[in-house]
Amino acid sequence: MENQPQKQLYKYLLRNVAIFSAIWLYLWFIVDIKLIYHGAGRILDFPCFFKTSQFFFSHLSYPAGLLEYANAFVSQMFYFSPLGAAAITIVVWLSAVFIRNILTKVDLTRLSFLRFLPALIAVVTFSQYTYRFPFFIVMMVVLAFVSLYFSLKIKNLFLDLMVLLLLSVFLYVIAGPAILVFALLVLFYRLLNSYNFSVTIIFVVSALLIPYLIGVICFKGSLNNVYTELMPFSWKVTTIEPKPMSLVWMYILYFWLPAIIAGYYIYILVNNKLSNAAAEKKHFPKFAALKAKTVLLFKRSPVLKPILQIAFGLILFAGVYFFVFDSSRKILFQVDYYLAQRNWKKVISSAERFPTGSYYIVNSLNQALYHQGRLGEDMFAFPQHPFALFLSEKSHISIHWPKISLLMDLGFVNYVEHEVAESLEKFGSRPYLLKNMIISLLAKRNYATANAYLNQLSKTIFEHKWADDYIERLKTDPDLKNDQRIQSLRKNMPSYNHGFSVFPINDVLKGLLQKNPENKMAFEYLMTWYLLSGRIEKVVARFDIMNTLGYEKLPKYYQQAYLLHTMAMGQKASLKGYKIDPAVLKTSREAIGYFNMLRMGDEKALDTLSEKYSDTYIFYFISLPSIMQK
Amino acid sequence: MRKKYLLILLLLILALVGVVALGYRPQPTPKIDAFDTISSQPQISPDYADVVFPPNIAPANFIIKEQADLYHVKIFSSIGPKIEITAEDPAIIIPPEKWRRLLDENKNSELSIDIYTKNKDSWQKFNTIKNKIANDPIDPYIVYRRMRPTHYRMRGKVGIYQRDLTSYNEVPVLEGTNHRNGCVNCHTFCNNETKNVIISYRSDHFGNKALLIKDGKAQKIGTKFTYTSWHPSGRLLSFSVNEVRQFFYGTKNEVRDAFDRDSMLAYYLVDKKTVKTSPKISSPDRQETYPTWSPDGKYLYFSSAPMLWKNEEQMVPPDKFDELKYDLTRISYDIETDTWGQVETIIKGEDINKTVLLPRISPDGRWALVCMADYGCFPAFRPTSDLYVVDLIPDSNGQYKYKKLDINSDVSESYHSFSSNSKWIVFSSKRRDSIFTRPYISSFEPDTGIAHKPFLLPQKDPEYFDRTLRTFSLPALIKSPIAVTGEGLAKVVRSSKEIKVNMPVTMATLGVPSAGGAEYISQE
Repeated sequence: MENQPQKQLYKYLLRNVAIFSAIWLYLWFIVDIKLIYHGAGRILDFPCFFKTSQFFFSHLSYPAGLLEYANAFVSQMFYFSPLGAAAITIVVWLSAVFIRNILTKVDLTRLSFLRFLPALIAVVTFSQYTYRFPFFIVMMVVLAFVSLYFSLKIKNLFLDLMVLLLLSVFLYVIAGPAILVFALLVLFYRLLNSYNFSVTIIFVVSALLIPYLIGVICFKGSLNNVYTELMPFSWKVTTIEPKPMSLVWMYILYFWLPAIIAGYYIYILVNNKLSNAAAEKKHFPKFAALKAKTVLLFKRSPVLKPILQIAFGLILFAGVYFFVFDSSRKILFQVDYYLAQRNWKKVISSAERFPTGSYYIVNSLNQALYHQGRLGEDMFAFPQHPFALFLSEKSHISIHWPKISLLMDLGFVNYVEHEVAESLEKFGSRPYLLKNMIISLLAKRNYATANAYLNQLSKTIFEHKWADDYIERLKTDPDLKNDQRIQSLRKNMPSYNHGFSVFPINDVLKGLLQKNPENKMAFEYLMTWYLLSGRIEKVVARFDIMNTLGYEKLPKYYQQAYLLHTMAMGQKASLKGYKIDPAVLKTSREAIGYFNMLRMGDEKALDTLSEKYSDTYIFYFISLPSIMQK
Repeated sequence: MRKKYLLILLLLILALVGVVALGYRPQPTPKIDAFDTISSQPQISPDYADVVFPPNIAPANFIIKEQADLYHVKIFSSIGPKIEITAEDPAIIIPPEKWRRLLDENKNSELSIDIYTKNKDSWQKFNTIKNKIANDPIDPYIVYRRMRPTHYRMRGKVGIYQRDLTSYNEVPVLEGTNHRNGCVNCHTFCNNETKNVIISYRSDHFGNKALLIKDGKAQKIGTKFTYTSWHPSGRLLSFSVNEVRQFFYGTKNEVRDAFDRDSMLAYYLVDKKTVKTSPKISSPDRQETYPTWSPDGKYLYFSSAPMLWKNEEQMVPPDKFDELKYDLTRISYDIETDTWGQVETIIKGEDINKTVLLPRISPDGRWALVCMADYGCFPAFRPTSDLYVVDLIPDSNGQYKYKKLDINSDVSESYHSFSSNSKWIVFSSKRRDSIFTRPYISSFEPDTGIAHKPFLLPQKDPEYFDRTLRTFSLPALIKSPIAVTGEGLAKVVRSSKEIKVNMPVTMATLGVPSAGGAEYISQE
């Protein structure tokens, strides 16, 4: 008998360990938290963290700054998926502990299974590849304060009020306007327990005034922010949230507990009016009987309950995975992550899994194909569009990260600097951006500015080594003559200067080739640009350069462009010593045959073309007018 | 039992305080009997050597860029005790009280800095750094805008800040976060005072408008101004309307540039709440911009260039963008009768093969301080932009003489302004790294038009400017703090109340479409 509570505790711990381990593993392996750290140029509000006293002190100048600082620090753990997943798990676990305590204190122990709600919301929101972690930290702190207050049970009215005010002030300084959630929970708790009403009223009024008194008067904050900072309805959140519905989860996270306790209070009030508990029994005799039966069943079969719980958990996970998990978004993040890592094989394998056509994916894919020597061989196996090559459509002006990677590879350093400057404004001093800014500045020999950025990067937690290495290298090799990457950029950087407002693809690629005729990537991109825009005569006209660039054979799509050109012109252009591969010739002839049938009005030829020859340049060429209309 | 724990806790706290105190204890002043002399000046950052300090400036803390185990610094002048600092850290933080007293007692004298470094067991002494303490103070406040060196401002933090030059205190005047990530831009004061202030802001949510702070009360004006200048009477505000377009360079170190597709001048009559213009300052075949009033209010100086492209031309940049050269011009004005005289050309850009921009007239009326660059209208984006002074007293031939100041660097100098006594100028320079604009202060001789070696705005943390990745633009000197700042101003921005303006002048007057995307160009 004495071992019963201990047994209960072990059971409780075991259950929690099982559930939260599952959450940790899910976040680690399925979500892969490091993708959220990287952000893919899509997560705008991921915080930066620097190991400097200035960075710390800058967070002390406004309410909720401390929590933002803590959140920024913990969020850096996302750099490693297991660590990041553990950080999230710990936060939701602690929240669960506090919620359980709170529910017990308000006599709602039977609802303690709801303690897993923050964990569930975390799993859901991270499955959608959104960054909502600050809200979870805020709620954890609020729940800790509420839990602490509920545990104190102070009898002395004055002391009670003082403690409440002190906790409120403290909480506001640490967590900002989330004090309002604290106030709501305390209000209903006090009403439920019929605590002194005057103290309750004074507390509620104080809680409403504290943001103004501390936020506006002491911290000189703006009324615009002192009641909304780190709340889901803050303008800072709503202005960057493309899907307002996704914030619903945050509203649930913040307000479900006050709503439940308020509901319980109302239920008690109504029940009291009905004035007897017997009425309750009369009202719900079926439920009472059902409950009794269930308890009996669990008692007879002790393994049934945990089995049911595990099954329920598994169903929940499966539900989240199948209905909420955004696998397409994960692929977008993966492609960008591997692009930044220059892991070309993984870029391609990730892109292959993307369910629909995406300029963004194709842009990165083309870059990876180039590095694998497959651009002229395989690019039309994927849905292509002229705009995808440089993300040059008007709506792509706000997409920066893939452009940074591509333009850096090509050697167009000035435009990299422009894209990074834009990104730094949008995303803050993210290490990925700092590195690219530094590289472009070093290539341009702007060492003073590069140093400023290196100094900042050297203060990051996980990515300082790269900066430290450059700082050291600059001491021994001040012009970076031994740095292959910098030297290669300097060799490729265009020297002809021109002003432009819209990215001039043709001029840029020609400028790059003018500076360095051996810039193979610029050449292949120019040829690809010609292919994509249907200028086959320009493709054919450039075969002569390929000898100097060391091409042993014509890539497949250049051959197909040549054959199309021959067909269109009715005569053969010079192959400059290259040969047409018999297999390519055969496929092309077949495809051209179907194309001719299509021209004659045979609609079925189109089906055959799209079924059998969709990976040929001929099919792309035929489809170009309709592609351009999209 | 409880007492025991309390005692342990107390002892632990005491131990902690002891450790902290030990760590922060001041280094004892070393006795340096012998030292080796190094016959060069020590490297310090910021460069506070051979400069003239105002007597009321905050301590110019610096970092010694020489390797040593221990540093000893003596700061002294002719009168009063030396300031002696010994530190293991090369960051030299000067005690404010001692610095203030030293400068106050030694106006018009030399300010010397001796730096000793100790390596192993021997001391070395570098050549003495000589500076000068001026007699005349600088206006005690500086106002600037701080932001990232972005190309199109989108959502980063931007704000106008007011810094007390006698200390390091800085307060936000208006921050973008107070009006939903809005932008704040030009701020203009009347006669270096804060009785009449205009601050422009842009916001997706609250519109592109201006804030008028008059006699300590802030109001919103229901229109936007670009570059503004107060008539010294405070009754009139002249401004430019600019159709700005930004573009980028393929190879240059400065990635971006901008040009005005068209621009014109207009003026706002404060009491009548009316905007007016005159064909003389809004000519269809010229571009007028950067207005500034002479201190007597009789002349409006501005930059003016011929239109080199047609309004219909949409190419960005247009073909002749690098041929555009602005003249320095002025026009007389009688505020009592609201009549304009004739436009006079002071310096013709074409003649000197330079574009003349951003005129600022010294409060004594003698000098026009301008930027001159190879072409264009955005000096902050032109590495060739240098500061020149134009003597507004013409020579016997009626010509205006100008000279390049010795304070320029090989990168952009821009956004300059005078102190109220004409003895100091402050300007933005990219000389430290060619990307970030930083505020520099230079002593100016109103009799000769000579400016002395500028110094970087002193900061409490001497490494501040090595670390911060923000630009400081539009520095302006003022005599007293702005009466309404922070939330007081932000509330006005957010309020729906505004001064309705009679607006006969619209962008349509320019004959060009609305600015659209160009609104968000960062005009650092």
